[in-house]
Amino acid sequence: MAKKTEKIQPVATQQPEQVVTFTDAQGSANVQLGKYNYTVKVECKSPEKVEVTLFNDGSVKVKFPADVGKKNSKVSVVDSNGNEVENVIVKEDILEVRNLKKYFPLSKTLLGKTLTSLKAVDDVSFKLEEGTTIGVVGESGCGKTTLGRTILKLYESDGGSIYFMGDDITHLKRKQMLKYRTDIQLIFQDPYSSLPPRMTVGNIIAEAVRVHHIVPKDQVKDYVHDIMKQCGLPRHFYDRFPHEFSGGQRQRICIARALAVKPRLVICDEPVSALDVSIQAQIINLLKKLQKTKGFSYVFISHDLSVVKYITDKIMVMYLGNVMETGETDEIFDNPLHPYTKALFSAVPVPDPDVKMERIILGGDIPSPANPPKGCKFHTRCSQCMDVCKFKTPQYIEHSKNHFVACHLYDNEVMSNLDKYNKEYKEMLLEEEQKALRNEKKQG
Amino acid sequence: MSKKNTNYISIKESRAILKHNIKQMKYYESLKRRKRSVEDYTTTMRDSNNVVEIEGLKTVFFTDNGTVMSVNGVSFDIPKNKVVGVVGESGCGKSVTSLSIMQLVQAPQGQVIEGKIRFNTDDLGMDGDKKLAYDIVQMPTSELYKIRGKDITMIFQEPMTSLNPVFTIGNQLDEVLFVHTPEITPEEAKAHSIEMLKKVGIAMPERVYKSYPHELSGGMRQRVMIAMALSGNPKLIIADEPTTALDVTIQAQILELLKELQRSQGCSIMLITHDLGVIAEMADEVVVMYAGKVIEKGTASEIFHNPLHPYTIGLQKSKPLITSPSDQPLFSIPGQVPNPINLPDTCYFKNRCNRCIGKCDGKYPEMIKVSDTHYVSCYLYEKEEK
Repeated sequence: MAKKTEKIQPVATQQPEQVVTFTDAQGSANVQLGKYNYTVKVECKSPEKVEVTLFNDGSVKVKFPADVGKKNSKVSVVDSNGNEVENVIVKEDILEVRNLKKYFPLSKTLLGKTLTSLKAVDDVSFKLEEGTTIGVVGESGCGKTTLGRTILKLYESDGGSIYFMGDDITHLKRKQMLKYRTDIQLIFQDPYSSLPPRMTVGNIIAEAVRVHHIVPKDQVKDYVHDIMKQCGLPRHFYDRFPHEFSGGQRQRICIARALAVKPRLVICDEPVSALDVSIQAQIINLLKKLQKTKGFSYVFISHDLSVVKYITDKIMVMYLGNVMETGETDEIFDNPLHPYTKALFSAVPVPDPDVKMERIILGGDIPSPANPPKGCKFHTRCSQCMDVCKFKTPQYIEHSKNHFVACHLYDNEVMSNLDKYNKEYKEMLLEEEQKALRNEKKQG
Repeated sequence: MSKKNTNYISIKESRAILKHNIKQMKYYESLKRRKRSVEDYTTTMRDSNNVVEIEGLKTVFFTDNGTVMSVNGVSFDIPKNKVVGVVGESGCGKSVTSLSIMQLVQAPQGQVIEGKIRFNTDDLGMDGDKKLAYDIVQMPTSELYKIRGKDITMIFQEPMTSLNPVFTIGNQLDEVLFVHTPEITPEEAKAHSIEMLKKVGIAMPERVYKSYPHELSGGMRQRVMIAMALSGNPKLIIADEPTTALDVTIQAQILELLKELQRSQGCSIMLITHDLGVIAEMADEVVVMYAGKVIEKGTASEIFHNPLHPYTIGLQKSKPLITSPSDQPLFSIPGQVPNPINLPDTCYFKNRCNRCIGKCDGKYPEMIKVSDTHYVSCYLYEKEEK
């Protein structure tokens, strides 16, 4: 239940009930709250980035950012009398993605220089604390899956960096990446096409165990049986083939396969979309149970908002490769800010015939990612679109704690200078018109 | 799981199945080929306010592993100007029911072996005070051509695969008109098709008319499918998972459009989906299916506010809601749908049910009337009938 306390406290408590500081370059910090007065000492490669939080119940949380990592580090917390404090939680950001970009070339010159490209993932940043889940939501074609695959380095990124457990894995070669492969696993959307049809279930699960030498050779079979039990697969499934199973059971096999190599981070790419409602619930419960017992972190990619709400701690809403809004799940659902998030939430049908939700129906289709609109990418479908949105890309604004939004509506600088921007936009339009006229004359 | 339920069958068994299948298929195909006059396939409607009445429909598939009872005695009505939602998990026979109505079941493996599908038509007039109707099960396919695509139309799940990629949208839309009204001129057909495209909310109908399916997005294609379904002024539209392949925001658009068109055109919709949210939004009446049988039917508010069958209750509880708290584990129905071959004689839901009583070991429960519109097939509610 460690996860529970840790999730609730930072959200629910206000300023006087918790103190956050960073340790200094030597790795020491003093935290004081009420009767508690602790000295924290940290040994690691760059201690100035380590965050220390003291809660009002006297517990201390030491959090290492993803580019430092908690391995090979030491933490000691001493109170004013020189006694060791027992209530210390050491956490790290297991994954951090900074300004990640993935462009797919669409056309090239004769010499191989890219002319136009499809910006599948454009400037995406997020942090994921160990033992928690981040949900990536968005319509099809918004770059959710590409993001997941780029993190796994199935695609080479075109910019930005990925930190995993204290190491920069952005530019690692295939072979160097091998030692991280067991730590990051992937669960695919379609359990029908992601299992090899000619291997038995036992072999599917055991293959990676043998390759990575997770357990000694003679124990592999017992180990696989143990994993299968944890995933709710009966013992006699060991010698069967994937085609004999239903979708839910296959998805369990996929989860067992991912779980067998003892990963720290699991990227779930729409794991329940292909399943029926009653089976969906079984799989979601299994994923949650495994997180509790094994301390997995999940990147949960999905378009189903109700599932995302259920399983995640943080949500990232994407649209055409950009992040529109990020924040704690409860915060985003209670107080969605971006017009796109609002529309997305209101579009989910509620299984109650008497509830008539006020619908925000988005007009039109999602624009082609190969030729996205200028300015804010969402402005073509936005109900609150202003002139500014048509040429100025919005910045990320921290609206409340940990709740970021990329929309001009919440940017005080833009909202107070609307007239200036409107003028600018009109001038731009005029210029373009004149240009078009000149071109016509030239041709005429 | 016992050994019996696995997919393994011996060569001997396999041969026996094959022999049986060939015999059965030949028999049902010969029934189809025999000559029938109009009297043979006309019946009377039970209630002239219904568009379609399905009674005791049984559709089976003769597969190499045995006979699959896809639809096993399904009965329900589709009233005029109403949306009937059919909900159930994959493999429960909801799509096969709709295909049976259209006579589109894959023959010769798939056969409608029993039951009646009465289709209310204006062509035949009255017999006394009862309205005459076609029985689609008995109807020869050559006759069915006249109503299929005109009076009963279908919107499929995958707008990608249900439009022909080598013909333009206009071509495919016009075809519907040429088939059902041969006297129409190409100019009239074009005008009508563009009118239809306008009706389903396509911004540039002239341009879409000339374009090919691959040039359109998923939502646009589904709109074209709806336009095609509407162009014959149908009495019944069968929408088979019309929004499953679409995004939530596009789904909202399409559902809104369907609702609006249903009201303005005055047709009935049979909406097949597994999403309870979509059903709640659209349907007036709901039919819940499980393993080829209707287990509960009633009006939308009855099904959603007073679900009776343990499966319906479980289905509703296991769907996470945006409004539901996320700290308790999600309710889940244990186990899975039974193998459609060798179904037990007892209630099919028995193994997964959490409210089993002693009686459940008996034969499959009959439909029990709870109120005028609400029926459930479960022994738990048998007392109320007496």
